[in-house]
Amino acid sequence: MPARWFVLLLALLVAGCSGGGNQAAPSGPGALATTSSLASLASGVTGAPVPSLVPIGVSPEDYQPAPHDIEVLHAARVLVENGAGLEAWLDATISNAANAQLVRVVCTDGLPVRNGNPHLWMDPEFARVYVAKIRDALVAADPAHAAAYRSNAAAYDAKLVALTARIRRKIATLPADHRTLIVFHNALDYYAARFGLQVVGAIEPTAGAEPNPSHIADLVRQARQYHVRAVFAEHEFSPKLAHALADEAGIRTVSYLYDDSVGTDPKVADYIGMIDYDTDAIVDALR
Amino acid sequence: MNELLAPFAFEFMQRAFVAALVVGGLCSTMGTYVVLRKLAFIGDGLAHASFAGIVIAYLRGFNLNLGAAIVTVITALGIGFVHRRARISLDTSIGVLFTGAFALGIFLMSRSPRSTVDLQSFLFGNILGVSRADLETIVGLAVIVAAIVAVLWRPLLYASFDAIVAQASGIRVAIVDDVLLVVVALTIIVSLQSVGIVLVAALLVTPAAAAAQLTSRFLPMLTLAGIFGIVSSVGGLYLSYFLAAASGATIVLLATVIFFASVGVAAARRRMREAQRVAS
Amino acid sequence: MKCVEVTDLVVRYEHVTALDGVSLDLAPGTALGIVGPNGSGKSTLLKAIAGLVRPTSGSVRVLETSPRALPPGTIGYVPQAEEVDYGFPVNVRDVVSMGRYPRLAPLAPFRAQDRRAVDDAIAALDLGALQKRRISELSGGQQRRTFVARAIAQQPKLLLLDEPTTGVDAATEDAILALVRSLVKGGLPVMMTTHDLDRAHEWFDRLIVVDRRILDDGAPADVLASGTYAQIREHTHVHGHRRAEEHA
Repeated sequence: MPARWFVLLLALLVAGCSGGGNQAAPSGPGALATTSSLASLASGVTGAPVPSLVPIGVSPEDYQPAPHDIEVLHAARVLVENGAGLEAWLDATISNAANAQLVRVVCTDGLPVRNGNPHLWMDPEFARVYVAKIRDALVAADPAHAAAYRSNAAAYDAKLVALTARIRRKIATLPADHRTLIVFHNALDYYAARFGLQVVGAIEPTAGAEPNPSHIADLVRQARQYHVRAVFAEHEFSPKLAHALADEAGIRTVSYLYDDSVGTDPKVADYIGMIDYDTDAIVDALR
Repeated sequence: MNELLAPFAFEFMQRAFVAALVVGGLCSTMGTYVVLRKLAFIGDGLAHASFAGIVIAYLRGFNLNLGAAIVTVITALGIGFVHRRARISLDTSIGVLFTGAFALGIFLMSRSPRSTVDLQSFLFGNILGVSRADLETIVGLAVIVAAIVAVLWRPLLYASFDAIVAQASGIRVAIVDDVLLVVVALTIIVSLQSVGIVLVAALLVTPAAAAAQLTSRFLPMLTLAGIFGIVSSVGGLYLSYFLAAASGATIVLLATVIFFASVGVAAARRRMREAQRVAS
Repeated sequence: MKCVEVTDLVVRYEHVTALDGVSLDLAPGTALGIVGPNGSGKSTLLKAIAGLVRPTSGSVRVLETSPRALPPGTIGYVPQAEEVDYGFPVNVRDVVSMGRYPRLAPLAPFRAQDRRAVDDAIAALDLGALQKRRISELSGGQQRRTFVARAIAQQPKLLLLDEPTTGVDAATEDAILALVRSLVKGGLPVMMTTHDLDRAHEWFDRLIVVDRRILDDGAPADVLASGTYAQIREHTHVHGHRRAEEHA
């Protein structure tokens, strides 16, 4: 094959490169969060955008920290993290960052974690607790702006209360037997428990575990048994299994949810936007 | 009896069985060439290379499968090209190109602000998620590959066995080699998106390696490799249902068991022949 | 018509000049022997004629065409050391049959004439009893005979043999000699490199001495009498290297 063809093809390949950066640098009060959802909650308290370590679209459980993250951690004052096993890689990264002043806010401390599932932030009532903890940590680390933090946090808390009420109203419009779902991951367990929905099963019950055929067959049977009306895939992952399952069970709807991708899609610009979006998607699908 | 037929009750499983049959047969027969030409880690290599194609396709907004296919084919041709021009061994060429392509994918992804998607999950399919459209693609590809191999049967065999004399006798070995690499690349891509990486890399190598133990001529080796590939895939899928285990892994384990069984049978045969010779 | 026409052929690899201006032609029905010490460029000359190596300058013409542009099956080539995977699953008959491949259309079945050509080649090299044996199970001489049989089965218009008798038993050597003589009598041009001069007059109609250039060319008896080869050979023998410029 002539050399020049190969060089041409290589050039086309390189032309596919596009620029852009993904920098996280601590802002004003030196606050930093691990995930974009937590960053959104934190910015409700600071009143300014808070950066997140894990880039949008990367699953926090699988995240591999980059050298840049260590620099960023070194300069930060307050780190907002989820805990409950979500960020297993964090401890090693923090000790590498050697930041003696870093205050770590572990949001799930003291909250009822069930089955080792860390997705408590998906329940707005727990999110209120997260916000309170973030506020307290910021007030302690940056007393100069304590008043601002308190008033921001109070305002945001009110928004979260309104969010909960909104969700309850929307879910109330669903008939009683239209409240079962099959999901991809177990991100919705706490949300579902709070708002009276039943998660009949998850395609991938543990992150990364490959589903086996008898599990999918079980889900199909359960879907039929509980008259599940929708299967929920997630934007981040390939929806093929969800579609296969839905086809098999005769379920028409496969809908897409977010559990932690705040900030890319204009529809999910922040935490509240994400929960609203998911709620609307769920209610539409189950109607 | 109903118990034994349980896996076939579901349409997604029926599609999975057809996919297993076709992909198992296709990968293991192409795998015969891969093993004899010592290209064994091309499966893993091209799968990683295809990742760059997916990333570029995603960033530019066109079809992910098409992007993967294009970059994989470019990488495959690049492997042949580098091997001939830079005069380095094939396995080194594979190593250099696939790691470079994969790293390109990671690099581009890390610089992009927009990655909301776990692109790797799109790359590495799952046999249980095979759709009707996927099946059509797999079967279509299998037919095309079979046609190409049939038409190029003799030049491929000659070039695989003795490239130098084949070239001297007028066979265009470089073209035959490139066609083979492209066909292997397409086989890998399509199989990857249906059944996943672990499966493809293993199916390319293990059934053919098992067949090599038991046959002494090319066509029987190819045929037996195909049979082993199909038995491993269909059998493995079936077993995974009852064992509640990941299908891909079960298929690979079954193929591996078949390989070791073949080694055992070959060794036993040799001992029997020795014994006969001593006796006579 | 000249079957082979080489004009001022120069072949350079990296820093080594393998051939430094070789010119020769070959008529049909001639057995041409090529002698020279190791590293004299004999194999390179055959490879250039076979189209496996590109001339750095000068030209090679086979049947008045560039070797790579010939119809498939024209050139039969048996290299000195076969770079094949002897573990490949093929038997003797499979390998000899490959000689027929270049001329067969895709998907065309083996015809009676193809089978006959294979049978004849196998008989000529006395491989009948070994037909079904895997090539990994053969001795060096048997393998050599198989590769020569493959070239014969091809029914080429030019036969190039690179040291076909080196390291083989006397029976193999005799079989190949008989074969070459009968093919040449039938009009086939044959070029063969060799180290063994004792039987040169039996094998060849013409002998050339090569050491990057052609040092002598003529009837075997004359060339051997002239002593050119003996000089080079002795120098190599005594000093372990060739006279004059080593690898430039």
